Amino acid sequence: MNEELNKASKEVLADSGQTHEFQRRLHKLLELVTTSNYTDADVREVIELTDVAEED
Amino acid sequence: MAFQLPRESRDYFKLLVKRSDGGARFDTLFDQYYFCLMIGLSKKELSAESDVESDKFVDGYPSDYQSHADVIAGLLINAELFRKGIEKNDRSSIEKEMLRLLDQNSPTRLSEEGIRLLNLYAGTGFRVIREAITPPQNLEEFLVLYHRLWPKEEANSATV
Amino acid sequence: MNVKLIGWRYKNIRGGLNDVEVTLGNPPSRWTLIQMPNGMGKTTTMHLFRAAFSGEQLAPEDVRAFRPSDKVCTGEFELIISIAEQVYRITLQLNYDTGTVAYHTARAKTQSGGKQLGHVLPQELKSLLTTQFTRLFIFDGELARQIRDLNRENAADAIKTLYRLDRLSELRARIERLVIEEQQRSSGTTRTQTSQGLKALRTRLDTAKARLSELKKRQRTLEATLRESRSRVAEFDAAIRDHMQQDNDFRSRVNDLEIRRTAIDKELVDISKSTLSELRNPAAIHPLIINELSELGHKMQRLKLPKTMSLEFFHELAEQASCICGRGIGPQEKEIIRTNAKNYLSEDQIGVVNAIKSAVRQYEQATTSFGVHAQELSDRIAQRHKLNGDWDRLQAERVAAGDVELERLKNEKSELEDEIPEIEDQLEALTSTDTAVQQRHGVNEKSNIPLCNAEVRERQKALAEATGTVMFSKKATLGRELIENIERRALELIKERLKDATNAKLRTLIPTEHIRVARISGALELESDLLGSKQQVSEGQSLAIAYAFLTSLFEQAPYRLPFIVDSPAGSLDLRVRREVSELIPNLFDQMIMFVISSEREGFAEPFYARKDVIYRTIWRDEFDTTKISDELAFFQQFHSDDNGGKAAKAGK
Repeated sequence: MNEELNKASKEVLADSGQTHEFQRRLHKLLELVTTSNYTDADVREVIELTDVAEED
Repeated sequence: MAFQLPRESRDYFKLLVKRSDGGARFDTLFDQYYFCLMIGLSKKELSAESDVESDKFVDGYPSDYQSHADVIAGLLINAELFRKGIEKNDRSSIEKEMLRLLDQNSPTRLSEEGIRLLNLYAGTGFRVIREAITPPQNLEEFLVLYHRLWPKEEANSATV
Repeated sequence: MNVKLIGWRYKNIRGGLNDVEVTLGNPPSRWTLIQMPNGMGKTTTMHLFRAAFSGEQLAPEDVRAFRPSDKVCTGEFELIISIAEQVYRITLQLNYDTGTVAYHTARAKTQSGGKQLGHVLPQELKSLLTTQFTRLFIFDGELARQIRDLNRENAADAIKTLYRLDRLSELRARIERLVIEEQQRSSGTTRTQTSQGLKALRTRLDTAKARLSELKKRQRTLEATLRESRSRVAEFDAAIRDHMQQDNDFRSRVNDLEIRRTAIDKELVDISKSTLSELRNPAAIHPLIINELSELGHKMQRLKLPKTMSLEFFHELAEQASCICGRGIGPQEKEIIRTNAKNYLSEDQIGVVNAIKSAVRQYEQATTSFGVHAQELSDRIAQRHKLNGDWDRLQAERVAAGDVELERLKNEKSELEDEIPEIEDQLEALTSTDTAVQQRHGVNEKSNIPLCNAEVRERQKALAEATGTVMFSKKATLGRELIENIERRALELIKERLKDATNAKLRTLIPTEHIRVARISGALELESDLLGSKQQVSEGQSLAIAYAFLTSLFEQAPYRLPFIVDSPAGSLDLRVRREVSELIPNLFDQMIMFVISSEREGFAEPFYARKDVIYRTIWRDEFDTTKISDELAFFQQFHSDDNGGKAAKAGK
């Protein structure tokens, strides 16, 4: 992963308010994405980890 | 193909199947099926497919009935010969009927077609019973009333 | 890691490029100027370069576009490069008939130095060299102009390609697709995709649950009432008995009746059970049945059924040479025997029929007992009835004798007894799982517990599915936003760095002018652009900026690549050509430029002062033979017209 993408990813994720687990996994996913080495299942897993506000 | 009860017969016989006060009752669902069947076979009339439940209630004869399988098969053959109007001297037709209704590999002795027909005969029998007898409260009264469905024993070869 | 272009080779390629080999030496010269007339195959060559670097699977029409003539079926193009000093030969085998291309790679100085099938490069380089990417170092001069065209996005696109940011866009699209799949999957049960829809589902579920709770409460109430009623009836019975026993006179009569009643009940049970057991044999039911069995038995006997000859017997007979009567059995007889054998029962079947026959004969002499037992039962039922009557009369006596208490007890008991069936009926309607019974009572999920339960479960399922989908969609949207932000931020950072790198080069390249990149949006924007005064930057300088940008772009790549440019100074005027030629080639480690003779003037001159340059002319002579010359003098004086006609040479 190139330097700028790495830095941008860390910056944006740090501000996102998401869990550490999610940040780590999304960052990893982006790494895989740059080499096209990922599947739908990988994407689903990361999405499921996303923290959203509960239904009111 | 397995044994299938006539529609609504479960409800009709329900008090005879479970009775909490220790009185006499049917031992299995097959008992009620059998009583319906005997009437139907003697009338030699088939009911409609829609008068029979679509799901089976038992695959083969319960142990109490296994020793009577041959006789029941014989009665079925007899009923079918009569229903189809097969002459008593028409040997090849009679043999063909036997072939059609019997299956030597089945513990019931009957082919799929044979059991299917039994179910339809039971359907007719239930219809007759239910028209003549109000839903029975206990087994002893049912047996007495069931006996009355058959012709008086002094008479000779009259059909029901 | 350095990648250098060492040479290339054509065979049966259009444009007169057959059996032509171009070598640049190893190590190759830093700059190579190749002069080829139009129509000789410059564009073709560029296309082949891109394919050879990327390993692209060309479409049949593209393959056939390389075909020189109909007489030729196959062609070949070989690219020779060095990667970190190691030589690689990549060959495209073109089949014009089938429109297919096959790649082979050979590496010198490896154990298997021979050719292998496939486009085999070091993985890191290979993943870099996508078709899109090759356009960034193998291009025609237009690209440079486009990078400076403020109406285009070429600069930004180049960045996205090189830095794989386009993959992030792909990821976002993939996420969207997953959401749609998810929604389609659950839309079988509900179309809910919104929060309002979820709320509605939740409300429906709550309603069903509340209803279930109500019904269960009702069940408990009814059951309690039933229990109470029954126990009160029993209490009344006991009270009535006690009451009647209070009187000595009655006591003995009461006890006596009790004993007899109990005895009768027991007899009824015993006889019923034993009768039931006997009746399981059909012959016990009625003489009619015995008659039928007997008739059947006689029939079978008379007709000699089953026939003792079996199917098997006849099959065996058919195998014999002669019949038991002595006659021979030939092929014709065999056939007839086998055919007619089908009319006979097999041995197994005969067995069954025989079993029936003997069972049936067995009952010929049987007598039925049903009549007798029915009579026994009937008598005892009558007796029980009478005893019950006696019991009632006893009570009535007492009542008549002024036993108000007894009368009260009886009435109350009677009332209770009437209520009980009613309650039982209601309970049945409420709790039955039998469809026929449910239908009879006319109940549905609002009045029957099992049905209500089923509905609760269904609604729970619908809600869970819809919730899952809505949640997934929300998460996905958030995820996509994050990724988009990351993409944007990364792009910002990259642009910032590239801007600085480009400006650093420009400081060296054009030290005297204050020409700097102010911003990279879709294109490179100069400070003067922002001020709206483009005139201050010459066309040549503008191109220099574009090239400075390109090299900055490539600085980050793990590989140093050769730049191959077609018509780098094409439509520029003389002065600009000179400028471009002075500035740009210094940016590259290796540059190969294709020019036509009309471009040469102005552009080629600055090279003459440089070392490490090849000046190569490739043309077709009047006999249509392809020729190559490396002479500078020849290069300088070569002329061709634009339709790629024959050259007029000086000093050939």
